[in-house]
Amino acid sequence: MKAIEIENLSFSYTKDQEVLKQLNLEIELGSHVCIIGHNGSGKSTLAKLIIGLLEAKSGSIKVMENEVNEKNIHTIREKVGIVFQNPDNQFIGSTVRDDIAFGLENRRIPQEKMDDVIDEFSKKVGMFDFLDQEPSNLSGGQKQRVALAGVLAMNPDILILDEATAMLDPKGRKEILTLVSKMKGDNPNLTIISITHDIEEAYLASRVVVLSDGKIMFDGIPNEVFSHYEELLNIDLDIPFLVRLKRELKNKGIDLDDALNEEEVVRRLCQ
Amino acid sequence: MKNIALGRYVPYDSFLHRLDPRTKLLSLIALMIMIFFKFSSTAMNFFIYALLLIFIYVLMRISHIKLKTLFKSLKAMWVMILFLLIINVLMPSTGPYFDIFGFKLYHNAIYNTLYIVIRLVMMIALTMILTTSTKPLDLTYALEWLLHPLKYIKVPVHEISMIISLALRFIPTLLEETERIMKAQSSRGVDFEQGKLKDKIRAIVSLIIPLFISAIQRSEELANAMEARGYDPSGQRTRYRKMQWQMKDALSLVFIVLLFGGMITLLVTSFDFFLMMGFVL
Repeated sequence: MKAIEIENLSFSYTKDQEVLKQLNLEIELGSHVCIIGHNGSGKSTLAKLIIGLLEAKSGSIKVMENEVNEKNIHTIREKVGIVFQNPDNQFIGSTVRDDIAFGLENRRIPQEKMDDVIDEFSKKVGMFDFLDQEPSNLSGGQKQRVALAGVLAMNPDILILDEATAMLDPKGRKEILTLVSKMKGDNPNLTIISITHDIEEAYLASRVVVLSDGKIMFDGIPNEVFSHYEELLNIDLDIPFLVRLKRELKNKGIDLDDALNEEEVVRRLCQ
Repeated sequence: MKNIALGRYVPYDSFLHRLDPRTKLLSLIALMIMIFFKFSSTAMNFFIYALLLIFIYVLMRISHIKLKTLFKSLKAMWVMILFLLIINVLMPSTGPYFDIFGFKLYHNAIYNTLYIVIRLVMMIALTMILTTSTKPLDLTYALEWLLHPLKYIKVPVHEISMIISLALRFIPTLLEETERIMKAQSSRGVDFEQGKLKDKIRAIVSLIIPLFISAIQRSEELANAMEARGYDPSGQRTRYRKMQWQMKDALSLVFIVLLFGGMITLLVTSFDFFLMMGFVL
């Protein structure tokens, strides 16, 4: 079984402009995939199509063998959780506690069990001490952590992060990314799809998909994708610092292409 | 800017704060009705009003509202009181009157004005007690509970209550946004404080349009987030916040019912302590 199977997917908001063009994509269960692309490349649209907030023009999407359509929408939303970009606009409850409870209420979890779930997941994201706080007293990073707790409390198989760190300061961004890695460590079966234009985030994934103008441009492991240096620059994507460094070093005659991470580069340079 | 939040709730651990919001809402309605009872004699009316005022004062003390706060919110009423007095004085009336240079100032005119003023003060005080001691969200739940029977005549009670609670949730967010837009527009040379009326209106428009656009965008994203988390307004949901009747609610409600019943009895039997004593005001 695949987590997500997308076949010949096309979508357009207006008649003359297609956002997604005959897209084909398969995502394995338990994998961590990063979808990157410049603004307007269709990456957020893809997320909304997967969770059924938008309807495909043609083609099909299957989430764990359930076709995304009107009939299956409840099943799909039980399997897929999504964290959006704006921390304020996805905070539904009046306090942290109520916000985490919102999803549970929709899921018809008995009221007696809710407190345990709320405690468990607020502890996981480090917001246990803030349970009775109102959103106006929280930072953006804290609100995103609450959103993450709210989604994870519903026990999804697939977690989509739709530019979840884009509006955060570097500290908040780092916190969220660490948290996501930790979640993945705790539950290796969780499929994570992170949609971002933060290139550093892409390095956390085991697979990177580059979208450009509604088509898949590159698809592979991060190192392989980022070796297409010029092409990525051409579609206005930033290049990770490490890749740039290796590139510059290579030009100077030091070949470190097979070094996997920062530490290894540092170690080899020191030799 | 943050001070203008609606229904200012003041957190405090008082008896009234701990009462079930439904008890408070029902009691408020009962008391509001009692305020408008009119008895056969003026003396009796004032006597009952005095009792109610004392009761309301006790409630204010319990919920830690200072008299000063009440008077502050009454400040804007002076003009209205004066207006009411003038209207009542000019109305033709009967009964005893003072003769001021040939102008008949009827006692009844003064009494009627006083009635209205006392009623207004009591209504404001009661509403204040409710909003100070009850979180807006709890009040929404109580309202939803109270309107629950309307569901059978197809009134979307749950949706209305969800809309109200979301509105309450977004008041601080939108205030923050307003402040931000005001600063942004000021830095572009818009003057919100000075200038002619025409300039001021233009300044306000430069605030309102971006605010509306952002509010609409927000609502769309919010709707997406709610849907993605499995919200279905017509579907069955469980409730995290359970309201629990307690002994103190029962006792409070019994007290209010007795008070209400007592008043009704007085009204129906037109029992008048003062008339019986031959005392006429």
